[in-house]
Amino acid sequence: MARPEFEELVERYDKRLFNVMYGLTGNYHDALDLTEEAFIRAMKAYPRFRGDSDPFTWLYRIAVNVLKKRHGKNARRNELWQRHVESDPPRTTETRTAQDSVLQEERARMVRRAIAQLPEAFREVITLRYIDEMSYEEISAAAGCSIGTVKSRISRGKALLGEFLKGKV
Amino acid sequence: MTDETKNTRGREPEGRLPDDRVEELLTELKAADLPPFYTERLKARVRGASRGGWREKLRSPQLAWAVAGVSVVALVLVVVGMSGDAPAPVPLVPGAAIAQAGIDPVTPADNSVVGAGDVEIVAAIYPPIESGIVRLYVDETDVTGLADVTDSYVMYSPHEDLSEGEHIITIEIQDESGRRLKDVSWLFYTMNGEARDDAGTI
Repeated sequence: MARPEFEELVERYDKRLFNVMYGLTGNYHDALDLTEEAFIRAMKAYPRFRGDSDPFTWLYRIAVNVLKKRHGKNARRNELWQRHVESDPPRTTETRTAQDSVLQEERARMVRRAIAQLPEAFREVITLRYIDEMSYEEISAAAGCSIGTVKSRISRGKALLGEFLKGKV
Repeated sequence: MTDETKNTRGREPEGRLPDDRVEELLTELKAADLPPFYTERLKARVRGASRGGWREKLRSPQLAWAVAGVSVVALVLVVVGMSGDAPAPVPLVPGAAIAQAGIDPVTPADNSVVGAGDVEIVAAIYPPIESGIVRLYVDETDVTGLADVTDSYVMYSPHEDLSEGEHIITIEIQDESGRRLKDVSWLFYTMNGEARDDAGTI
């Protein structure tokens, strides 16, 4: 099968990658920024991409590296990211009554904030499972760990989320 | 699995929400929308980055002949520039009316700090316009003739490093008679050495 043009990958995966980044950072604007930077880096690496792995998994690994580099470079930024979560405006495509919409968006905001507070290993699998709706096998390939580890991390991540969200939703 | 994380079916675990409630909350999360034209901007940005800087372009052997040919045109442009005349208008392909179009700065970000040698100016025009004249000014100097201008984006990499300090970019769209219908300006700063990683984002 012919390898797609890079711009085709942008069209196909930008929203998906952005949503995973949104899950990992808990911040809408930073997720947009990270997605853009990840695609720029991916474009430069694309000539070396042999197509052995799923393109999204490949993009995801690049995006995670961008994210880690940023966190590592500026510790204060991590703190600021958490503060940004407070004022972050999640938007969805659903149509509901105004009140339901406000309540559900507020709840979603709390959940995203809680996910952003999880340790990295748990945050990653929870995001891939519930926001990107990946299978355990896909998460295993993307996160580079066994399926058993994926399941265990999801379970422990959910338990931690339960602690973070107790009394808030 | 530790005792702390074990799901206790039938009763609420102390100090945390039950797992099935957490599962429900997670399942409620919906994919967030991208801002309007994000994909178009990203494609323009990717297109711009794929072209590389002037140094990379000039190193390419395939472009050696093209550079030689273009140099004649550049000489003419320089002569025109020295005589004080503005560069020729840029013809555009069919698209939307200018009134519907927006000019969206892509890079450098507004108020960002970039390395003096890493300046690449990119702006997206959306929807693509059907006619008109696009002009690009850097520090009030018209560099349109040296820029890559299409109906949907403007791109310019300065030949030489910009001086350290503040710079202003202005992009205008004029109608056929030269009347300015749209314009956008933004600032960025250059510094010698590597740019700050988080500049302009917080």
